[in-house]
Amino acid sequence: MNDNNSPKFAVVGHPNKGKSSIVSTLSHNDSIQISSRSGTTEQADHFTVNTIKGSYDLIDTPGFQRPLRVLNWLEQHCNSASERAATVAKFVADSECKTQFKDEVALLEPVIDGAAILYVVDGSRPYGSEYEAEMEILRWTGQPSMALINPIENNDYIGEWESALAQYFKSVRVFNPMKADFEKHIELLQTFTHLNPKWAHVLGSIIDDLQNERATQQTTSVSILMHLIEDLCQYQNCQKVLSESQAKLIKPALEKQYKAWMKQREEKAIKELLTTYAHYQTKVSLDQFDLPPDLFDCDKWFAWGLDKKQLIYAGTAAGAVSGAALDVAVAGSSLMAGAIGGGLIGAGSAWFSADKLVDIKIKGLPLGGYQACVGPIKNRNFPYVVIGRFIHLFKQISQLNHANRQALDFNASDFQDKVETLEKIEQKELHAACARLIKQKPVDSLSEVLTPLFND
Amino acid sequence: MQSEFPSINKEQAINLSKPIMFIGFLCGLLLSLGVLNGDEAGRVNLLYLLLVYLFIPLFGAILSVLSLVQGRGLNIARLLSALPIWSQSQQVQLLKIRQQKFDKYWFFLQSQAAALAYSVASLLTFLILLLATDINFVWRSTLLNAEQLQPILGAIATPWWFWEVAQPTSELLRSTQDSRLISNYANTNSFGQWWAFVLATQIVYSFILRGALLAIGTTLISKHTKKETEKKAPRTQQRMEQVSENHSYASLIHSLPTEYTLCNWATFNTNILQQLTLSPKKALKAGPSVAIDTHDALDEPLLILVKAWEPPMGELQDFMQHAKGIIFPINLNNKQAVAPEEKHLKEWQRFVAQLPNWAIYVPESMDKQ
Ligand SMILES: Nc1nc2c(ncn2[C@@H]2O[C@H](COP(=O)(O)OP(=O)(O)OP(=O)(O)O)[C@@H](O)[C@H]2O)c(=O)[nH]1
Ligand SMILES: [Mg+2]
Repeated sequence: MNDNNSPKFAVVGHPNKGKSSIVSTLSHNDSIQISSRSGTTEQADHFTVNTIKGSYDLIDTPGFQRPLRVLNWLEQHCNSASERAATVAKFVADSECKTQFKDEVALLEPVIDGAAILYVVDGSRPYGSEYEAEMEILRWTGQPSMALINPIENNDYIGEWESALAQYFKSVRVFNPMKADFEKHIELLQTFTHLNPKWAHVLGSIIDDLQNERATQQTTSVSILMHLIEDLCQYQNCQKVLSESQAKLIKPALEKQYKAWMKQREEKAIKELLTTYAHYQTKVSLDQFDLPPDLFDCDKWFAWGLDKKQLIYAGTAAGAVSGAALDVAVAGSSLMAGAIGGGLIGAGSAWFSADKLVDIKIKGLPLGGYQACVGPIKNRNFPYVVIGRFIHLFKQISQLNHANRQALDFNASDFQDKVETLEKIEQKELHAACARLIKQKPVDSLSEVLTPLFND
Repeated sequence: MQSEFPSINKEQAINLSKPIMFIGFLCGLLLSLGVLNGDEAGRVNLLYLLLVYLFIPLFGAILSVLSLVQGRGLNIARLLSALPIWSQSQQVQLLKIRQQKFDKYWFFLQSQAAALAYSVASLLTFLILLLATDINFVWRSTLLNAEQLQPILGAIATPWWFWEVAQPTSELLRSTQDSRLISNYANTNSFGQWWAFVLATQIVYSFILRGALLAIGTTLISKHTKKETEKKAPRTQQRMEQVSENHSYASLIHSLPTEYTLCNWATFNTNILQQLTLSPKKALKAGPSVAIDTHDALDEPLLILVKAWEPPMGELQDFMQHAKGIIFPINLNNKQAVAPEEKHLKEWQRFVAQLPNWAIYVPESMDKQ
């Protein structure tokens, strides 16, 4: 069906051992059905991994159901070892076999068509001799093959499997479709290049492309955050009214709309982030995530944004004229941190208090009437809170494998540590940028300022 | 969602900013009035006029084109945007323009609009004053004489070579050179003759030039926004088919019939078998790794031992199809037979529910574990 030069891999094995999971993770496709029920995949499904310079096919297949009887059939229809591959082809073409052994026909068809074999087993359960028949059938096809041990629950039987599989497969790898990180994907693809020398070149280009794409995804994520934070810091909700008292009356409604808008805007950014990493099925609702659900829950702000000590430092750094002044400030901030409770830095209270968060502003209009406005937000920790939450999500989503369908799990943030790991100059730029953002001033170098936060 | 946070479309993008145009208009008006006002004798310096109607517009145009080509796009409009005169909604608009990355073009376009407004204002002022007052165009210079100036003005006037009256002649230059020490003029007629040259300068170097640049700016933005929308075209989303999770589950039994035939399908070793303390009437040899014999005409029910963690397969189903009995799924933990895990048991219950003559056995003792 597609030309013979394009690499193809049929993922085969026992039912319910994670074949679809492996295809899902490798093809970055989260719409492939995965279920704890065996027999989920009922026919061979082709998934093409497309990059700029090439493409390869992954074929998800149903599991073996009657390997022993199929092997019997093959043995009965084969006269010599040289005819084994042809016998399997005959099996696949045989109309009676198509009804009697539909799973085996479906899974062997792509192999006869030229696909290499990826044989999947579960490394958390013991090896059993009942697996021999299916491995033998695969050997009959004569196609290049390798085995993947998926440690579904644990690593207990990996060693046992390795020695059993070594008798049938030249190459045996451990690959966990739920947890493997990007480097592991690439490593696996690199072992694929050895399966068929004809494919080595195109697979090599695909690996390059995937690595470039990964970098692009990060750049895109940075600009998603950039737009998010600019929008959130800029937003204002205004309404025209007739009298001052009316303006005060609509304050709660305005505030509610304001918060709803901010929340939706943040959700939109998370959706964009998910789309960037090709996660289309993950539902986004901030309440559903294990996030502090409310962007305006100021008690949580020191967890998501900067802590008080860092904020003092930030305040100094953003306005600092010289490196020396900055260093004094850092030393001083640890001393000052202790004294905050006493209101030592009275003037700087806007950094900490949340009451001025979104004040209502009422002004008279030239042609009569009044305008009541809520926002833009004043609190200087706010940009950090937005950045902190987003970076936290970014880490989850950029690492999320497509086989992993569980809701994202968010633990406490370490944004503050992240900020600490930045170079001094990077920190200073971040603080300066946040100081401008909260005043609704454009920050030209925002993406350069934010990028270090996205790096590991 | 899409409508909640709309991006700027083409029509909005090429909309000309009224405040920016207003500022341009105001500048044109004030500068024109300034230079055309002249002294009490109504004398205006031609060279000042050239500064306002030729040099400023031309220099501005070159600057805005250069900055467009070169990068950031520093121009009048961008400088104006930094002033604290913009309303919140205008600032939001500016932010969106920046985010959609056409700020460079947008500022270019707005600069042309401002310059065009400047040019319209100065044209209007000029025409009105021509009608309403007597403007005496003179020129003064300490260093230049008429012969030196003529080629420069001639070059400026080449675009309207066909318009005789608007061409600067040496003769006109000589007769309109002014010195503040001389107050008697031989031929006052010639002082008005410069109007055509000045008007043509305004039209060509300010009005037409900026009009053309405005058109270019509009095309650039249209192209950019079109490219953006094409890029944004939604990626084909893979749809997830919904699997129905309505399955029937076979019920569990906790005791065995008195008479049954044992079938060790999973080939558990004797150690495990002993732990199970079973007392079958007889044993049948069958299993996935053993050739399947005839097993028809069995009177007693079968008790089939299976590995709980392995999914039920078609081979077993074929085997069970023509018989009746009980499935006994066993899990192993450190070589000890234990009750199956919940998810595995569910799998077996779904499997057995499709086979009418079969049940699943989980001993009471194991169930407790
Ligand atoms: N925790 C964990 N679960 C896994 C892993 N791989 C697969 N699973 C689970 O195992 C079950 C089966 O996964 P599938 O990918 O559907 O297996 P399959 O081989 O395609 O199954 P069939 O299509 O039914 O033959 C699902 O519930 C998966 O969530 C893994 O690495 N870790
Ligand atoms: Mg599957």
